[in-house]
Amino acid sequence: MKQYGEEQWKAKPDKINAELFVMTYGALVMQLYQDYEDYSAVNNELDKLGYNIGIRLIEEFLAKNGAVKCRNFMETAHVIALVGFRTFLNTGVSVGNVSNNEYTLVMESNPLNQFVVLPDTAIQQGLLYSNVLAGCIRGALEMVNMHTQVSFIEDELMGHEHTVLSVKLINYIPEQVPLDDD
Amino acid sequence: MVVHSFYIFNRNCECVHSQKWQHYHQQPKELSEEEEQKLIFGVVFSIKGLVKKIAGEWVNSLMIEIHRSLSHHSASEQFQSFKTSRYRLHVYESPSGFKFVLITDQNTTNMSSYLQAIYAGPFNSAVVRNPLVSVADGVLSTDKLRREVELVVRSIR
Repeated sequence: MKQYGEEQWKAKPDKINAELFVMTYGALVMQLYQDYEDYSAVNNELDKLGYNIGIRLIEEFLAKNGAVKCRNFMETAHVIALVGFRTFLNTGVSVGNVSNNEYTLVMESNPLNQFVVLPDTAIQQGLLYSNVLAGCIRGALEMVNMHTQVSFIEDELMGHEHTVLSVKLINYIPEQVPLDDD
Repeated sequence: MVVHSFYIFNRNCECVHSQKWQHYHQQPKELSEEEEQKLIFGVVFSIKGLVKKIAGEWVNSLMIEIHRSLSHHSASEQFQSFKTSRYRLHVYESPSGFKFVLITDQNTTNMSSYLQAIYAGPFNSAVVRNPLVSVADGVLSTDKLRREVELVVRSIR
């Protein structure tokens, strides 16, 4: 799976410069803070942004990785960690604590964090700088019929060793049934 | 081979794109476009349910075995097409719940690779990556999608 993810990254034709991407993201977060002047509102906005990215990203992911099958929630862990993160961010992620209906994704290095130092107030008030990732995973999983809750447990920028995301299954979404019109 | 028409349905059971080819001559009928789309969706939906019920878990697990051994080729959809004396209806469903339906003459077999190509190519580039189209609701069809689907369909012949 790991190797597969790396191949996918290499095969991907449209890449952009990492620094440009990271700087643009930084500017976006700055702008959001200037607009809202409240860190929890920024967290919310980043989550929403991520969600909207996720619901589209999943289509691209599925189109390219038709061979990868997940039968249940737990199987998505390795696919997200080894194929998803590798294809879209070219970063290695490992799967941590797996328990019933919940797993954690441990990012040894988060590319979005490059060049970033948070001011003390942001740390105190709990800015989740990379919250867009959480939203993105939530959005993507929702499109394949899984309601999830994704949250940051640890963040390098807050002084932790790694960035750790927790992904928790709320429920499977049943398939929609066409409305009876007579 | 002859292609008659093509539809995309979203997870909310709505028809988000439809396309017909000019030679598609039909007798005048009482159905409106919208009703026809609803009926097509209904047929696909019911057959899928039926297949699942008849096959049950056994075939599901068998299918997964097949996937493992032939992981490059997706034979995932248990129901791929049905045939009548006049046409054949092909279906591909993406894991995210979009259904791609293609109606061709009855001699054409196995269109699922083309339907998958439409999903991976035109659908992704013209809809998913198009910020002006909202994937969550309503009609997704754009001129670009129409043109690119046309190209894929031409390549079949």
